Amino acid sequence: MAAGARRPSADHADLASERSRLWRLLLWPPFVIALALLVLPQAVFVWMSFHKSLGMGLVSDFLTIENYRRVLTDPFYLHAMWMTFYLSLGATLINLALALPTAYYLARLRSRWVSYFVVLLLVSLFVTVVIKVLALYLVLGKEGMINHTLRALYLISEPVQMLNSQLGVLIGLVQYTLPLLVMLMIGVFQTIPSSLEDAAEVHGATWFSSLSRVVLPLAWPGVIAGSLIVFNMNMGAFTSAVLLGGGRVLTFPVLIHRKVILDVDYAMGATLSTVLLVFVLLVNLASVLLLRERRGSGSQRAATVHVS
Amino acid sequence: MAGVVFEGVSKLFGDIAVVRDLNLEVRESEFLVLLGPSGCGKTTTLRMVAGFIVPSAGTIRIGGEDVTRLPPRARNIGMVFQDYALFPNMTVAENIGFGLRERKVEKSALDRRVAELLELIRLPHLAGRFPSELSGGQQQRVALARALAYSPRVLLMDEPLGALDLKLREAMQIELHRMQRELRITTIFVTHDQEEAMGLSDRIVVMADGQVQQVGSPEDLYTRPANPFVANFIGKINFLSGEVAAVEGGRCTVRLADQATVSGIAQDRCQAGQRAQIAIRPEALRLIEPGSAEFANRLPGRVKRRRFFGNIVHYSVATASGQELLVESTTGAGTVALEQTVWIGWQPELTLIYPGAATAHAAQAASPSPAGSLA
Amino acid sequence: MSASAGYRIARRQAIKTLGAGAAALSMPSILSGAYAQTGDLAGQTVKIGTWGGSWRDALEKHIGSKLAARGAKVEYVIDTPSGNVAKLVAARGRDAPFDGFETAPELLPPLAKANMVMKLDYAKMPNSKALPAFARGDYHVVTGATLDGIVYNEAKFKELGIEPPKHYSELDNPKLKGRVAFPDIAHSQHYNAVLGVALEAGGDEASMAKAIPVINKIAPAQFYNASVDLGNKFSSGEVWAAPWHAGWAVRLKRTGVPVAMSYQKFGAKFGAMLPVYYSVSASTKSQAGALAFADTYLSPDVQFEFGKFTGSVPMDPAARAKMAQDPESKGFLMFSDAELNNAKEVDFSKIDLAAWREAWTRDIKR
Ligand SMILES: Nc1ncnc2c1ncn2[C@@H]1O[C@H](COP(=O)(O)OP(=O)(O)O)[C@@H](O)[C@H]1O
Ligand SMILES: [Mg+2]
Repeated sequence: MAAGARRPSADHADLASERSRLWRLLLWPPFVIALALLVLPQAVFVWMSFHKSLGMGLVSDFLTIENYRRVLTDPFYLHAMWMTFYLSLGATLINLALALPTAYYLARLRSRWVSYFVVLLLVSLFVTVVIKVLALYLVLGKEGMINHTLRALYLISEPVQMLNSQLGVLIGLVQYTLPLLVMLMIGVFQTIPSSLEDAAEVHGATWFSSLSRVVLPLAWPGVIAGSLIVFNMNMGAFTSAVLLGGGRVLTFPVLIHRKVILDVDYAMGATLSTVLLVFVLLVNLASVLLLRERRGSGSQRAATVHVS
Repeated sequence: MAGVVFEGVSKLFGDIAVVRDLNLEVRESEFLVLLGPSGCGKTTTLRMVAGFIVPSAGTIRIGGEDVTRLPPRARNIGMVFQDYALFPNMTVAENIGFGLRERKVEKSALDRRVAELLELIRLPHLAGRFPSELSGGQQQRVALARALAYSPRVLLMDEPLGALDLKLREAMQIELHRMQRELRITTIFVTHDQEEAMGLSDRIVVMADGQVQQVGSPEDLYTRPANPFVANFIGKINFLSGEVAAVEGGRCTVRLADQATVSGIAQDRCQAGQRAQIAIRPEALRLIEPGSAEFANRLPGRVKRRRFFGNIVHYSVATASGQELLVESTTGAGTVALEQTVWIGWQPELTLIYPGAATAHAAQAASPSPAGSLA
Repeated sequence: MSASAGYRIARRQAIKTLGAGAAALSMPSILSGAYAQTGDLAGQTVKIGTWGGSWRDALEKHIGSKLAARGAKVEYVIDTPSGNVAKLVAARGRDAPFDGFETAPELLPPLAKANMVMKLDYAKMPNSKALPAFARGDYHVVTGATLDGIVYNEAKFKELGIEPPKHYSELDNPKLKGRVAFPDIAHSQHYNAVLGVALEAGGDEASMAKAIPVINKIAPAQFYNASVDLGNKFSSGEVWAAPWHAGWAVRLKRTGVPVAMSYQKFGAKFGAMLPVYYSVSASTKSQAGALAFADTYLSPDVQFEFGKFTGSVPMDPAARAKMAQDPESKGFLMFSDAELNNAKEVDFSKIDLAAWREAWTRDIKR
């Protein structure tokens, strides 16, 4: 009787595991394709970087680390990397300062308009950077709205140069990644039940301590992940640097582009790309390790926000 | 400890009144249950006490102090949320000590108090765990301890047992009862479950559509429901409707559609010719011999269904006018076959008569299925 | 008050060009027109690598539509010439990304050396007979030329009391600080401008680096990479002067921007010319279509219409003569054989391009 009762459920379990095996099999082809698309070009690039360039897209047969020696001992490239780093980091921090309150406000706003707004943000992500950059010129250019307003108010006599400089690139990067970060952060805050804040408040917490003791610790892993995504995008941003830097800000991606397009030096271009990639990976790894160390199991806890 | 007083409290969201002119006193040390169907405004009421929602009109006092516009943290109240709302990034002990830390209680006193509460909820061995490592019932108890830690003036609980399974819920009810008696803390407990309400409380406030329907002990609500809504919401009940034929004193007689008459206790002033609703509990109805004069109210009917519950049996009996009445009879009273013609009799003293047209709730209750609240 | 009115106009113009410009810049993709099912080119798809914006539109209007009538399907691959060359190089050993493409003198020699472009069959391009000899290269045909000099905002210059610049070094003027743009290295006008500066500083093709201190003194507010972008900045009043080519001055003037053109001495020569090269990929699958495109390009009618629209100088003598009478182009362009022969053409064989690119990247103050 007991055995008989268990039987159907055992069959059921077999069937279920059979089905999940099938599912897993179905997952293989996309995985392989994704791997091929993502890893292979990188692998080819890395392989190229260990060869001497023969010009016109050709590389030599023998392996060499000469390219790396040249890049890593050249103050010009090191400075470009440093500049790319601090611009990306700066844009990320500014974006965090803008995105966190915005996203928090939107996530807590109980209005149907919020979802429209998120769709709008999503759409704005797909507006080409070029359009956004041209719009920035209308606002921030020497003859743009801000300079005109300031002049009309007699606050300045000469227009302020905001673009065609590192500041311009910084503004461009901020504009480039802000919508994404806001979207990511809305998602993060939405997973934190507002009842937790109510609980904090009713148990005596001020708004500040509800934020600092409950909301931010729970949002922290998401904030870090989002910031890294945005930082990485900034490190690779090319169009903003070209257009808003006015050709006067040579960030690492711009140098890579020039090596490949103008010099048609694939080996060196590949070397620079690999150096950038490794640098970004190291920054990511370092921040994750550092933060893990500092937060201990707390961050792990936060990942499993419990909603009954 | 302090009581809570509502004076003409209303809350509108947009132009929809969610709570209407609420006047109520929660006495000191009382365990008061706010009972009503989902969406009737219970949570809104509770959140106004907590300070999350500012009333559109009226005053709320705690211990005599007007707190209507005070922020939650300044009210010194405890609250248990439906989803517990334990802080996932803190241990059980840290959760319980949260309110004390916010109140800048010195470390050793805080630790002592947390230990005390862990004893009270009988979970001292789980102090270092995180909420995600606890069962539902344990989380529930931690939430309670967190709300009690700083000896608040009032404890608010919003459907705190809703997420627990039946067995655990019953155990928690008993536990809650014990702790409330022990601590004698003024408590407002919100639930939509009438059985839970009946089992827990000295006094129940029944709400519907943002308005108080009746305030009373479980017995009051069961035996003397103030209106058809309460009658229907608490326990099972049968409804019949007709026209008032005669009035004498507190009694009145109602003529049904098929000309049969039923008399009972008028629950409000009756006038001849007025529409009226008749409500009778299933256990007041008896299956009787034809022609028996034992009961003043009698109706013929046909047995449609029979359900056996061990000590009791439920019969669904269709009357001549087509309405079905639920009759609850004890098992020893002999059996009746399906489709058999029977007579139903009952005492006028156990018959509630509500003059006036059927309200929305009453109309729903009087639908063909016997005793709407059965469903 | 007047400032805000001017701003409004400028903004309107900027917005007007914004859409088209942005679309052109942002879509280095394939755009195609309608095509017929019959004709001598039926079934052929001809891909042309070229610039975006109004340049592409003019190609489509005057050439693409005619090929479509002959049954070909014409598509455009839009990028800067160096960007398109990079695409061609990247596709080495596979199908070319385009059949015919437009480049510049500094880009073609290495491609010819690497056998990535084919020798042109002039028999298939009867319209080429009328061209001057220098226009008919082995691997390229010159379809037109831009004339390079300094484009400046005439109204602003008058207002500031600055003479039309006769030398590139005159761009180093405190009144112009922050208002000068200079062609960046990937831009077609780059080498003419740099050589002009170098010649003034006593250098030449072999010593281009002499230009660097002067450019650093000018300290341009921007090294521009896209003419569409620069056009917007002239319209909005952000930029007042830039080494550029006359075609854009013509086009801007047409939309009401108060610009003028001034040519500079290049040693013994006057003004600089930048020929537009048309070449055919070695691995094309549609040689007939690519040559038909060139032949149509070189017909006197198209030469005139195209030259007038883009503000470039036609190679076909008849078209050039006709354009010399055109009031819109007068004053911006030079048309006579003598003038064109006297315009400077950069000798790229004398420039160490790799060294120059390094110098430009590292030694320009930014
Ligand atoms: N913030 C709000 N805005 C608009 N309507 C609300 C809001 N909060 C609650 N309501 C509405 O008020 C009514 C009562 O809600 P609630 O107090 O939560 O009921 P209960 O707790 O009794 O189920 C419901 O109809 C609900 O939809
Ligand atoms: Mg509720």
